Amino acid sequence: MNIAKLLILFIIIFPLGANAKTNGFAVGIASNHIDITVGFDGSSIELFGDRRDKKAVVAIVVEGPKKNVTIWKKAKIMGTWVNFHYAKFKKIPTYYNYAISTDKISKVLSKAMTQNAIGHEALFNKVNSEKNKKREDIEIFQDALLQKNYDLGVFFEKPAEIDFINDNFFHASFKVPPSAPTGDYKIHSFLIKNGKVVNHIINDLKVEQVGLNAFIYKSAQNYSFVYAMFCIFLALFAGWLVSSVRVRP
Amino acid sequence: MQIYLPIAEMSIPVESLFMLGGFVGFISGVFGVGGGFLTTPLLIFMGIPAAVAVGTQGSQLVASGVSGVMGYWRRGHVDFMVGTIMLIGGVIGSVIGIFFFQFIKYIGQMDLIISLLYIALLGSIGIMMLFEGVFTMFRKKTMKSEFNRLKSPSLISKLPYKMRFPRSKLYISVLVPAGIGVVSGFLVSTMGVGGGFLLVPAMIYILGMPPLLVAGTSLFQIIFTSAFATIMHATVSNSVDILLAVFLILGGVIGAQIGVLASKKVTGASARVILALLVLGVCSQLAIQLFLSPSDLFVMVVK
Repeated sequence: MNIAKLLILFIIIFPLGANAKTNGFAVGIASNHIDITVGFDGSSIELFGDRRDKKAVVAIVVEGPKKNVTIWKKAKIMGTWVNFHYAKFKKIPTYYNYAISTDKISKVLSKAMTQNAIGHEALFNKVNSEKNKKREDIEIFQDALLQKNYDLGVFFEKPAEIDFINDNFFHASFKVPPSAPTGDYKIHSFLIKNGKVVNHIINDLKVEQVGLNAFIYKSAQNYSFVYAMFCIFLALFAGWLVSSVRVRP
Repeated sequence: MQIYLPIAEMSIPVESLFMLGGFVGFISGVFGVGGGFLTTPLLIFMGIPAAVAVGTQGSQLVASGVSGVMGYWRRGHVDFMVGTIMLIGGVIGSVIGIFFFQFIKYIGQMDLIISLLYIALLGSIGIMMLFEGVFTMFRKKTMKSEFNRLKSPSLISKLPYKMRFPRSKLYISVLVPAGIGVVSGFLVSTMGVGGGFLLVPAMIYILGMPPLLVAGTSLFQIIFTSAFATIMHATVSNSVDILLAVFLILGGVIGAQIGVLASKKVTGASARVILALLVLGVCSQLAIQLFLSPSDLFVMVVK
């Protein structure tokens, strides 16, 4: 494929406004929303981009809505395992995935990653966990937080890959599991040169329930009493139906 | 086939929900128990948040309660007066239960308290059933005669606010049925169980109601108490998942029909011993987690 073909592809893929282009760095996502329907079984975020400077490193971070997280560690109290020690973490993304175009992480690059929340270690950088805890104690809780999220499928032990179609154009795919939290996602794309972020593009993505699911979710949130009455009515009806067709022993 | 539950906000294979509903329905068809004490822990084992499991279970109890009570009602075996007094207690118990539930969630000890409640509950039902089953297997005599001695202890007859209940031929303080209702309401709203296994003996041996009226009256009371608990869970914590309820009810209906057919072949004391062992199995599974070695030392709470 030559560059002209790819350019056409690029223009087709990125409709008006879906991309931002400055300083020889452009990024766009194939869709800015993920719809969760009744049969939702996971999805992916497809990102396409163009970088003019071959030597610059591309890093992409996908973050779900941020929430405060408490990690409890059980301890044996009077023979019973009880949630005892804890560490609180503020503003931890409920979904986190990242990709970086190089596997040679230099010192300056590592610093840029830490400053821009690229990579798992950087997640805890600005985090305000309990001040009176020792560093290594907090690390146990940080590891547990990561492990819990790996198990849920909303964090990923290995970063995603950035595939270069040629020297300039790239594509990255981020897996979205069925358990993905709903809400507003942010996709940060960084262009890093000599350890300095020279360009930073943010794309927004919305993950939300649609159709019947959205109707149920919104009814339960906004008209909870009516929703409850409907649930009860349905249960009453089901019960009545069963009693009228019951098999008698 | 995966299905996305809108309130639990997670995707789960629909077959597993059918199987769970069907299994519990089968158990309830064979043994004539509600089965809520199995549904809630099994839902939690499947990864459904405890709050959603308990909240949703209420609407399923309404369905199974209605299907059960219709037969008794047609035959006139429901004492609405006793049921209504119990129901008032049930509402109070539900309110206490909901706030207790919110409190243990707030202090971060929900796992511990719910596990402890379940161990106590399943342990006592299991042992009671095992004892009764083994007893009948060897003695071929019910234990009713022995229990009847407990009827109307002196303390209960001294309680104030006495009232006449003509249908059950009782003259007793309203505090007694209301108190039983409170316990039932608390169980529904904190654990998602109807508590028939506790209500039925309490109504026979503490209230002294005619056994013929007990099952229908307790079901009548459970329908309204669990309906109330459902409203509370839906409005206070938004934890009632209608889609989850539909699949559990559907599975339960099918399972119960098969269970009723199978019950012809498997009734008797030996079946009760099997059920008792099953209940004790779930109980010991929870106890191992709590007392011996938890499979995971860490718990994550997202706010």
